[in-house]
Amino acid sequence: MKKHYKIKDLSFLTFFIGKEQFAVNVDNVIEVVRDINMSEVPKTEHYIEGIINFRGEIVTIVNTAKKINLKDINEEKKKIIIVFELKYEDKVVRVGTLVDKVKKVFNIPENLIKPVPDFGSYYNPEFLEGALNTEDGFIMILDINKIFSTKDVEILIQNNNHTTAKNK
Amino acid sequence: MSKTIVVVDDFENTLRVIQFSLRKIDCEVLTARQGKEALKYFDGRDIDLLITDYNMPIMDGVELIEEIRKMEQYEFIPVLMLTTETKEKKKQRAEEAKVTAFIKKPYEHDVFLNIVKKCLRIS
Amino acid sequence: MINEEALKNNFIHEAKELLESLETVLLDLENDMKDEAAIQEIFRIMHTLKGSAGMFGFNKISNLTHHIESIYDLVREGKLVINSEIISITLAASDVLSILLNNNDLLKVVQEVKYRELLDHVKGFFIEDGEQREKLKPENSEPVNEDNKESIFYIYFSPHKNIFKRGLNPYFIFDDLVNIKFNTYPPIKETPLDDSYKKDFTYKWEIYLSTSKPLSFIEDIFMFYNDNEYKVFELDPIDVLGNVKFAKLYKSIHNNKIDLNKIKSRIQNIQQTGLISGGDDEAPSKAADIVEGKIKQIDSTKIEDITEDDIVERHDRRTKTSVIKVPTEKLDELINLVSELVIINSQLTYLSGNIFNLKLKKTLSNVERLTKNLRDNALELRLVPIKSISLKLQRLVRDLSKKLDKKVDFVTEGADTELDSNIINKIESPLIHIIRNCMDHGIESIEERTKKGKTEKGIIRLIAFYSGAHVFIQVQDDGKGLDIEDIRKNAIDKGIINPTDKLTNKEIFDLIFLPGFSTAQNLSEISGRGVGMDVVKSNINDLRGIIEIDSEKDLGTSISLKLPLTLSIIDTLLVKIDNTPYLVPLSSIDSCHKIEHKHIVNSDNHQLNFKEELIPYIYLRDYFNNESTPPEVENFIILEYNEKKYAIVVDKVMGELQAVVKPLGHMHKDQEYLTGASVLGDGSLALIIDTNKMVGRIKEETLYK
Repeated sequence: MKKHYKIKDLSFLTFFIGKEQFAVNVDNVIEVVRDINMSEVPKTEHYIEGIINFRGEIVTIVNTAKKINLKDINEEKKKIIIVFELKYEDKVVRVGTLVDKVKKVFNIPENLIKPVPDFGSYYNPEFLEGALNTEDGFIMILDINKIFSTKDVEILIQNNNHTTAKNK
Repeated sequence: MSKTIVVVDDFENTLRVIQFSLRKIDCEVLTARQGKEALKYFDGRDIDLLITDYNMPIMDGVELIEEIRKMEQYEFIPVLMLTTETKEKKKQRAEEAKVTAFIKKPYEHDVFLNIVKKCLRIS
Repeated sequence: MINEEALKNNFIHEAKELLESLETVLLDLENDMKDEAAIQEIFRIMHTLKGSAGMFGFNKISNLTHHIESIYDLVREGKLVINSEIISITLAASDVLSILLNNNDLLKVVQEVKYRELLDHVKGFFIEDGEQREKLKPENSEPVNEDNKESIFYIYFSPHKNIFKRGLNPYFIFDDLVNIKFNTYPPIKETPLDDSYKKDFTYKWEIYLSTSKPLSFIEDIFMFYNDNEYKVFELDPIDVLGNVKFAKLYKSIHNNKIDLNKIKSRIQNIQQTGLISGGDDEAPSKAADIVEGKIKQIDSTKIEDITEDDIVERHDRRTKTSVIKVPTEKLDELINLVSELVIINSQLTYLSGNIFNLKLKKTLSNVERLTKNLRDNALELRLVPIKSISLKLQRLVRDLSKKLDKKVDFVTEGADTELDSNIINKIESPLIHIIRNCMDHGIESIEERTKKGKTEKGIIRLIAFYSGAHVFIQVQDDGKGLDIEDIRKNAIDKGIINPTDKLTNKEIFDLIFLPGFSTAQNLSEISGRGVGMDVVKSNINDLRGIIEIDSEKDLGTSISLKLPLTLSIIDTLLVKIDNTPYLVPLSSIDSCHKIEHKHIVNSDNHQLNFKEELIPYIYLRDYFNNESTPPEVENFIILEYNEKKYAIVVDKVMGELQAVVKPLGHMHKDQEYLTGASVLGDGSLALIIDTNKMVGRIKEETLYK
């Protein structure tokens, strides 16, 4: 008796930080917000851009490029905020992240998610959940619980700041 | 709010297994291997449940419970006693020992958790 | 710390060994299908695996072994005979179990497939024989009441008088029954305020209930009760006394008489009305009517109904805060209704799930948000009297006086003073620590006191009262007081102060709040739990409160807490720095003065001479790294902290504002000067300045340079 079993499809949202493309699991995404008024908070970490009033709650906006220590090219252009829901010390919290372009949503069967490739990877696997193998090449899936915790994030392994990855 | 559970047993292994079982509940587990050590936890803080073995050297489970029930703050807290005793004696001794329920050793994890949750009044 | 991995690996190792021996035993059984020892051994293996697998999350293993165990149980009982089919099932199970033990993720799909195949096969094995079907059910499930018919149950609930001493509260039974229709006779009354009824519990109830749930559900609720404490009977409304045991019990409770009509009418009540708790034979009313009545009650409460006694206005020379006292029952009703609203709201959202109308969805989402806000706000209004803590502290004092062999009286003044429930929860721990210190180091032993000419009995007083926009809680003892010289010496030894420093008594007492400060005597079994006065102070500061100590040798010590009335709404002053709005809590502000920019720039070491006082200040523009051109005239806001004056300088002062405080979130946990943010009328955000922390900053920048 042959049995067919269903493999789950996972959805990922991809976006750009400068020229780098990353992906996040759609389950973590609450909303993508554009053109919203942000209030600055002086005397905070360098990567905190400000706060917004999101559905009655104060949500902190983080400059993703600065948080993951990626050389930021497009200082001016950032206007898109992805609001994530993530786990912090057993609580569920919301964080807004500034990114450049939001590209698209990929639907990928679970079994095609690869572990982070060992070869020539410039990225620190500690902050990644895996990689998407797409026609555009490998796109790194960010582990947002780790990245938007309050610890320092060094996304690049070497300090030679090679900012263009092999894909694209 | 997180609950506080005190677990007493002179066998380290049993303590570990119980801690492991309790990991699914939002609680703080305080362990002791002797009655006297356990008493130190009863110092004014909120304690929601005591789980103790029956057979322990120096101060056994029944004596420990008696000491605790002398303190006004802890006079009415629920207590579970671990035992290898059989069913028939159970109900009779529950009266004397002022125990909420007996848990037979070894226990089935799901049954144990169910009883603990009922004592803590959580679902 | 437990090493979960180690325990788990231990289990896997043992399980593998068991499976190995299983194979051997199976071969024996195949050779001789009547081998009783082999049958018993296989049963034992499955039973052991089932138990421990469950503990470590191997649910599939637990489930599978449960079914195989059932088969062998039937064999043991002689209801089934071993045949080749059973042997091959068991062998297949052994294979699958081996695979399931493997933690490798890649095998997950394979595991799932094989597991399901085998499970189907095993279950199919039983289907022909209906009797055996029973055994297949996992142990925790209940037989399904197929036609969902409601049955009537009668329970005689008579907990033993020592029931509380077993750690049980009979009233929890009624909580557990809350979703079922039941009536109690006599009705459940409120318990008395003090706990004396717990020592000798004499209440008993007859409970009639109507439910489609099976008997086992009810038995489960009475899990911890002895057989003689509760008796359950299912009643047939047509032939009530047909249940002989029930009749016998009923007779014995009711003076050997059975009033059949009464029983029947009570059964009728429960079938019709579905009242929850409280039976009244004279006036059974429908639950629906009662809810309607309640709604009417709230509507008709007009403002005139609130009498003058209910309204207390508090004036403060700086603030005008008016507070209204609301009876807690009214708030409870409000909260109940709002909670219902939240639930119905969810239903609405769910029902509209299939309707694709964007406007509808947006509106529903707004309604949901507003409802939740409504509920949160109602909850925040709930004030709790400090009595709840004082009773606990009283017990603590009694227990400690026995332990320490001291005689101490604990007196509370103002136990009815109410605090926000959030605050009550958070000051409990600091207060406990303070009391323990009093008992341990404050109050002297009986001999010492007699020697000093004091009364044998010491006294600890807990005093709570309102003043302005704050609640004051004081703990006073008539013990030996703090030794100033001791503290001074300790501080010098620790290098906290210099021997030449001149400090007022108050400043010396304040040193106790520094982290790591504890004189040798302080670390005792009683209070040396690692919670120092510095933690107590930071707990109080987190609540935007202040703690102070005063003491006199041999006379006693007094610790005062000053707390805001509520955490979530505060009166503030809206100010601007370069058009960015900030909020400053009004309660810390002493006064506000216009000042010319040039005076700020020309000041000496950030201190300004104001009315012959030298006031240290922070120029917020500089502090916030603001680079725009400052206005010519700015505002000098003087704050008061611990009877000293400090100040901050801002551009403009806009006016007073009652702000709802919203937390900033986890990314700001190390925030140096903010205590949250608030949404202004125009939707923009204003940051709330934490004046306590700000004063700390001011001190750093000016005094200690």
